[in-house]
Amino acid sequence: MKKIVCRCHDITESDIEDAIDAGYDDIETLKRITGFTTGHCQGKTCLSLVMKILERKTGKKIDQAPRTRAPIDTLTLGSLATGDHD
Amino acid sequence: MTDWRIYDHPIVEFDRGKEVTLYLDGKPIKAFDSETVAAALYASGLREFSKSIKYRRPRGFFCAIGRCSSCMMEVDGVPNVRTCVAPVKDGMKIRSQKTLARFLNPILNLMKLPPQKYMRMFTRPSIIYKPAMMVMRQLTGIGKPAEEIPENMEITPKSMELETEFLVIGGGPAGLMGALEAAKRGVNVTIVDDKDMLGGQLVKQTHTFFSDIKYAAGKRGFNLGKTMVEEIKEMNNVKILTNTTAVGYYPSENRVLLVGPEETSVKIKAEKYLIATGAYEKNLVFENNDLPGVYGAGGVQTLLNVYGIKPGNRGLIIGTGNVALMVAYHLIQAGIEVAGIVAPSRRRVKGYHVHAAKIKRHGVPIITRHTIKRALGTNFVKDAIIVGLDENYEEIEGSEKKIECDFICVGVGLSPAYDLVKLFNPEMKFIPNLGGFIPIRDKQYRFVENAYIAGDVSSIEEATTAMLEGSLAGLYATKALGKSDESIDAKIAEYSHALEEDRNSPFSTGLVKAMREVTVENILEVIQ
Amino acid sequence: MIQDNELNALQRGYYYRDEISHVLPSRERLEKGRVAVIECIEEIPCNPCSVVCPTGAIFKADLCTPSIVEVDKCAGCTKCVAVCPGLAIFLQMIKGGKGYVTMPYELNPAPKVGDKAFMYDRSGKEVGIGNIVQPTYQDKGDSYPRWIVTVEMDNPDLSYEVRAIKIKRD
Repeated sequence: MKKIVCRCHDITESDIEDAIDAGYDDIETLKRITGFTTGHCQGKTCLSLVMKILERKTGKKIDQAPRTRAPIDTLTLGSLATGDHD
Repeated sequence: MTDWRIYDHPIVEFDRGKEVTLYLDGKPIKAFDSETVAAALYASGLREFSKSIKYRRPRGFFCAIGRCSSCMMEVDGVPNVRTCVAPVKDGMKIRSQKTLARFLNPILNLMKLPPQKYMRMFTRPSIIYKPAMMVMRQLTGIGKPAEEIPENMEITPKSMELETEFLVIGGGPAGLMGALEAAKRGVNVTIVDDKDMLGGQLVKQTHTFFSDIKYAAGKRGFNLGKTMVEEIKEMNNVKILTNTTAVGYYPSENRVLLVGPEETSVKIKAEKYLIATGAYEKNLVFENNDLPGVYGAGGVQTLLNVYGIKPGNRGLIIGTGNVALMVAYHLIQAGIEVAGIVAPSRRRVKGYHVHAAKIKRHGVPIITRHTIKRALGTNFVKDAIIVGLDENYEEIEGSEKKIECDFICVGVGLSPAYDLVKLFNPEMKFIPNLGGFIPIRDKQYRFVENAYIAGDVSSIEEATTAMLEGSLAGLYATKALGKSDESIDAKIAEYSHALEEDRNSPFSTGLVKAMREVTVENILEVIQ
Repeated sequence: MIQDNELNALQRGYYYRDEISHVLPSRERLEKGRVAVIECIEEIPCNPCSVVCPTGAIFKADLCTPSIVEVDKCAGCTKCVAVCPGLAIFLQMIKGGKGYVTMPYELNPAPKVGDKAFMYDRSGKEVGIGNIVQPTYQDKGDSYPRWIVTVEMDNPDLSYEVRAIKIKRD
């Protein structure tokens, strides 16, 4: 049965473990190959779970979060529109 | 007609407002104008709000507070609206975002499709790529943009630039106190919160608080929140922006980007910032942990204490911290059975003994040395399997037990909402005793030269310490803005002493030690 | 699965009577009138009980030290019962050969004097049926609307055990 780690992208615990086994064993490359933290919630529900799995598998203490870039939450293009329109 | 609302609660009077009608896929649904779309739909019996993006698994909400994004539906033509924070409007048309792929779920559930596998699917030979993509587009993704531009669509650009003296991001106990202390001394304050109302987590705390009676003890959380909000609304040098999310900080411009309701945005520059954005609920990994019916503790509290809606009839709670124990009590008050409280704890029940005692006397089983293994049910939680753990926290074979329940509440802790903080380029550290990622700060609660931090985003603690930290951050910011008065130093001393006294308990030993390690004399020595 | 008697109080989540006996008043004192019993013995930063006591019967060395009741000063007024955030304070009394326990109550249905109630001990076990008697009132202070309920039991020794009730309505 599936154990979901990233709800936004449907990434399971075994997906994360397989990626770590395949060599993506630091938080930044693990994020890029699996895609966690890049969905709608931007890592709010998955990051602490992935960190626990990474620590368990590599034995290393995680002390860096993956790179954070604005915007940290979803927004529409319309909200950013400026300028005149007639 | 199904109605999961509570009309007779021992503590809370639910003033739901006027009755209105929503339409879910054409079906009329009873709602009240103080509710959110998700709350109203839940009360009418809806449990599955969406299908997950890849395997098309049924999803309900987890957080009920606009974070986990599992509750997204199409509202009045707009796709991917987080229904748990969307306020209800009479006549609203809601559509579930379903695709044909939902019929493939039984097959998809048996497959393993990690991104590194399917990235290369259908790319060779190149001739099948385009038609394959056309089919995939119908099966995957969440939400569909409107086919045509709606008739009543306003195309007026509403982005603007603002300036303020003190920008407080987060309207919970820390932010409110920080804003109040500054505003009382003449500072021009703008306070921002992503929810409909100020108060943060206080709005769902129906129990009375501990701590010193001078500050918060003996008062119910939501009353405490109400008092602070009323006070701040009276001040005419405070601008309040609700339903407004801070989505970024741009150091080169020294501006925060706020996104408001009705597609507005504000680029706001402040002399000093107070980040009091609180924390996110932690989740747990177990089989079928994403089934509708698995909620965070905060989600259960929101549904129950803010909207007066029963999450189910019999709940299983995971975790033995203060929050989990308190939620069990809230459920009992609402007349909901608690099947048990389950956690791997061996040394002791993690929270205060008095919290455990007051639910034990009502017959709630506290099952330590166990954890949840699997949530049962196809489209919704129907029972769960728990399993015993040995001294190494490994599962004990044969110790599985089935617990009857129709919802599962995961109360396993909080992590600081560090994302906005990180954009200021502070020095970040991962400190488990403080909850997760936090910035190095100084004794004036600054984490960079022009920004202050207080509350759960600084360290996971209580509402009472959040209020004291917020007050102190507000006072230090006021001093830095040159708006001191004679009372300021005495107040700083009083609140600092109160915080020290509060943290004198053995429950805070680890936290106090960790705080000392991440607090420097002056942040300017650490940050260039 | 491990049994309750193999665990200590902090692991179990409730006290056995002998683990909390140092806060339980003597029968002699109970026969003199209502007296406060504070079943909160952890170091939690909290002080409303000691602040609201009108006779100064509740002593706390500082914010985190557990409260101590000076039973001779306690007038049994219920103020501490009403304010305790942990719902951990009770009043006990023995009068006319019957036992009385006053406790905070925040559930449905609202209690009425004359109601019958199932009585439960600290572990949640039912220990008998009692009568709701005076004083039973609704406190509307900052803890509004908490009920302060007094239940009467035929066996006075049970007043050392009864810590929760469920109103019996047919």
